[in-house]
Amino acid sequence: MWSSIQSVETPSSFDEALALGSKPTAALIAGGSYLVREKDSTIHSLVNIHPLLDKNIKLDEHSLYIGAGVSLQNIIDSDLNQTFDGWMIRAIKWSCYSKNIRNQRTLGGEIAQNRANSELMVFLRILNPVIHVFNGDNIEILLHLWDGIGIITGIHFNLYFKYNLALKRFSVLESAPAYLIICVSILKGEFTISVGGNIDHIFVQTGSMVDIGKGQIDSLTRNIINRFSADQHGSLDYKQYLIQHTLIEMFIP
Amino acid sequence: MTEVTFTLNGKIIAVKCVPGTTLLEYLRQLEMYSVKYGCDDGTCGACTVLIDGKTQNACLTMVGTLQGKTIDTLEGLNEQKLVKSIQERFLTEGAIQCGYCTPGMILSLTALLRENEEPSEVDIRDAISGNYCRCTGYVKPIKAMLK
Amino acid sequence: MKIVGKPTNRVDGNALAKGKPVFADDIRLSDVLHIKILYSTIPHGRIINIHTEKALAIPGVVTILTHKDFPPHFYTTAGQGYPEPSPRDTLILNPTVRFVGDKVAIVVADSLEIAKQALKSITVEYEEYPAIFDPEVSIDNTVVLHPEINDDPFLFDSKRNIAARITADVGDVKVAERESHHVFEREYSTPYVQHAHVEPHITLTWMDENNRLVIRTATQVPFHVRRIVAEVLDFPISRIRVIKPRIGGGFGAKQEILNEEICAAVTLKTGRPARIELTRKEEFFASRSRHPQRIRIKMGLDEQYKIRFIDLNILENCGAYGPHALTVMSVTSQKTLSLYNIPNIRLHGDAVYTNLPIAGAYRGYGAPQGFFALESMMDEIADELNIDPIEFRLNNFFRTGDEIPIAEILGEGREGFKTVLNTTGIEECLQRGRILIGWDHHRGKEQTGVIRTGYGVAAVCQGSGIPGIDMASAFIKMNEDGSFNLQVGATDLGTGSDTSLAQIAAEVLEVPVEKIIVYSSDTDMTPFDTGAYASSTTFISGGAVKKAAELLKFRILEQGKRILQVDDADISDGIVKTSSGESLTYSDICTRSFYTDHQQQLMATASHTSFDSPPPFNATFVKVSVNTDTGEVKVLTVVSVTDAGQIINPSMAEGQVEGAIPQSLGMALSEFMIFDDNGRTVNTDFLNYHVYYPIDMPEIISEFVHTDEPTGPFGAKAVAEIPINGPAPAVVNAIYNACGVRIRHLPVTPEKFIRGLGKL
Repeated sequence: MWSSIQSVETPSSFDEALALGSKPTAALIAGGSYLVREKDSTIHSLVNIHPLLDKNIKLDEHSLYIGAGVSLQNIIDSDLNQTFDGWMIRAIKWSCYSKNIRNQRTLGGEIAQNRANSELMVFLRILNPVIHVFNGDNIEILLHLWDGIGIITGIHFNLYFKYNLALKRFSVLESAPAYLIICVSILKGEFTISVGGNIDHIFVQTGSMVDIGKGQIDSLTRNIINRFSADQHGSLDYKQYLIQHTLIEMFIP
Repeated sequence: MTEVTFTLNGKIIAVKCVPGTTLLEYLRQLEMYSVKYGCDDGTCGACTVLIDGKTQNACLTMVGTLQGKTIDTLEGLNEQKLVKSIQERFLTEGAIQCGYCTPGMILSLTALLRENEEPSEVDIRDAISGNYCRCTGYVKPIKAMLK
Repeated sequence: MKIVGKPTNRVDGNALAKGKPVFADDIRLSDVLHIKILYSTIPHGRIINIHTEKALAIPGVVTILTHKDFPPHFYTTAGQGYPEPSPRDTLILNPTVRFVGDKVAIVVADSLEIAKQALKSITVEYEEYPAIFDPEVSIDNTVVLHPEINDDPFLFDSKRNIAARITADVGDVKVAERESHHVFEREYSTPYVQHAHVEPHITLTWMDENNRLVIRTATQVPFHVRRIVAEVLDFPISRIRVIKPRIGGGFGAKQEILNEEICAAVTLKTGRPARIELTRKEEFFASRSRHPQRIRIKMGLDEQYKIRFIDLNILENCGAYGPHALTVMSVTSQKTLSLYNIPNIRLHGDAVYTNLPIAGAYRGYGAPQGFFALESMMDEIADELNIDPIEFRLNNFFRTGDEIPIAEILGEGREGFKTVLNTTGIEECLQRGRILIGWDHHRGKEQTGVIRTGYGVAAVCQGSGIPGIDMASAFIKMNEDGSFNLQVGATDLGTGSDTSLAQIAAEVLEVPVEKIIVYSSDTDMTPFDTGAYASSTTFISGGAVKKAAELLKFRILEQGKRILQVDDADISDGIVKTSSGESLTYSDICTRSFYTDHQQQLMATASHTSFDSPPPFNATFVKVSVNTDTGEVKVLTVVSVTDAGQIINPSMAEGQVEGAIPQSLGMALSEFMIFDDNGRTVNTDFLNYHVYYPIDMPEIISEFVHTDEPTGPFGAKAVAEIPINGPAPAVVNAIYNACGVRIRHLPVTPEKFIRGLGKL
């Protein structure tokens, strides 16, 4: 029982959804796998936007559009196996070991939740797709620029560039949440690195491949380790070692 | 009060309940006892139900979001040939020990077989990926489906 | 044999496969009261005041019980036979709290939501005391957890925080040490781990139409529940009925009086039905867990690599109270000292109190901890002396016909009994296992590269019931169609005992299993059984069933002869036959016995106990892959070969092995409870506690080696606990084999690994 909930509304338009969701005690609910687990007691009304969300996937030669209402399992079941060399599918499965939850969790909801130990989010931050958002108007904005306001309606990936990608995750078990996630992509001499795990926010940094050999890995590592703390998975020394090792492996084949 | 209408085990029902009610609570109030409580956060799958044919954790689902949906629990599927064949396999293989996770697993495997008549070991393992079991090590449940 | 040892579907399988409402919570009680417990937020202190006024004012809150509402009566929550060999250090509600999670108040309301709301409105004032979290500093600490308890024969020394102590001496260790050619000394430890059964603890109580208290609860020990609730609430046993429905797993966590007394108290006080169910979060801190142990072993060998002496020193952490403290430690010692024939033994074990969650019974019951230490040690010794680890073990095992000295000294809370080894298949287990995993072919091959493969082995044993203590009984009666009602106290917690006991009865009576209707674990309807623990059900309860069935078969034969008016006849396949060709089916005999001829109800009862506890044996082999750069460990294959005597039901026995393996791997690699500086349990959910999901499983190969144990029904021993002992030491040995890093203190973590490799 989510005892603080006094109403569940089902708006018939995004405008209505925004209006209902504007109260501080209201929450927009898409799949619900995060919200209903959390059962935040300050929320009194749920605004069910799931019926409104686009549940289509459109893939062509140079672009991929995924509706915000597409579930994580839908993505796995679709023809996206080879897109991004299969990294999207892998990232989804790591971020969510349970098929039950993948059936419920929407791509839009995952992006809105923005959890730091989601391999999918770490991966998306590398790709930095354009997200379509309704905030009274329909806008299109790069993922990293979105301020979190409004309702995500779809995500658009540019497939024009061939990404050179790798993602590594460290966890106690395959099913367990990762305590360290590192994703690196190299495109036209520029690298982007995205780091997640047992930290507050995903950390993204870009730079030039020219500098990699010149000790930039050390400074990158130091930058990253600042966001971590010691916990049951290991000390800071260990995490720093792991980060450094992984970066070397990814940058210097 | 939350009021929705959905199909449960083939019957359309008009539901009226306190807005904070999860599907798990509601189903057990209706004496659909095959849907079980095991955790607080969707990490055990003992409450697995089929919503529009897909497996979902009833404990993470608010009744108020289910307008127009089709929900199936094992109580409504026990007479179906596909389900019976899975149950027969489980019984012969010895895939049931305490039986608490069994309804959830059977629903997950039913959903799988409806989509894929000849699943591989990887497919089967993935189908029950959200069904936590502490008795079997998942060995016989998977073996039962491979024969 | 026609039924024992043959594939047989579970008798309760259909109901479970169809999701029928057979579990404790699958009933609707009208007018039921809901109970929530208010837990302590401090690790140690005295309750000065509990402010319940605001909570009581909430409509729907019926009552809130505190320690003032119960006359102080000390008991133990351990589900053990009387007199329970555990400290009586528990009050239903204690004015002193001893861990974050200790009970402070019982809130009773008309609905669960109102009860939860009431919890939030209660404030508690404490006087905080300092707390102990490290068992190494518990003994003689100025902080004393149970100062008020004196004169408890099962609490060793409350003033010194020692809940239990065991000591034993065999031979002369001092002399043996001097005479040893090689002496080794090591220290190992195992952590707090959880049972993580899927069904939480759940109890419902109500007064029936005859004003008797009915307790419907997920328990492994219905008769202990009845006795202990009667004692604690001062309510007559004759007015209590305990019913055990199907249980969703227990593994020892339900071998405990956990909340039955609270639920019963609420029903007795209010007259209304009551229900209490632990949430998953509460299961992680307010239930029970495995006893963490620190084990020091010193061993000496002669020139032929025969072990001359062992000095075993155990420090066990009970947590804040001591259920099972003594007996778990006894099993640790007894089992680890029953495997290798070591003539000189010194044993010292202390179980100490700390302000942490309570430890209790958990599958293996001390043996997993003990074998983790012993089998790691054996491996270390073999490695250091450069001798083959399997040969080293084979050279030292007890053999058939040997007497096991420690068994006579160490019972469970009492003196033990002389034990002679009748059957041991350990050698065959090892030889079979090494082939299955490819031990000789792969292990020891030269490896280069970052990823290394390793192979490890462990040899282990357990017991079959507690000798001289476990007792079971069975009642069988016949029906007109030649079927039989079998009523047993034995508790099926998912283990399948209803089925295996039916098979035993069917084998004796020469009828198909379908003709045996089993009803179990109801204190009104079924005769006594100590309960499902100590691997006793097949061995002891099965013994009672066999006796009862044999007695009934004899009576059926006698009745058949009476009816046929002959002196000689035989039974075969459910028919009484004479040599001259006359016959009567079971159905004929029973119908006539009910209605027309020499009328009687053909029935029999029998009880069984045993002074034998023949050890089952197991060899577990593990293959791992290790990344020497990152410290990641992946378990690839587990081979488990078990000698459990005659297997009653092959797939059920395999199921026990298959389920035990991830529990043991979890203890070694992933499952560990985390406490903050205040002793509060932090990881109170499945995902952050890291249980094994389907995607995490290695390949499992399980086989059985057959022996015929003369003291067990049809030659059976036990299988429920033994397979949980081997994987943890085997995996640690495999990791060492892969890359030379020895981890002695569980859990294995990548950091320990990397440090062991010298990379940090």
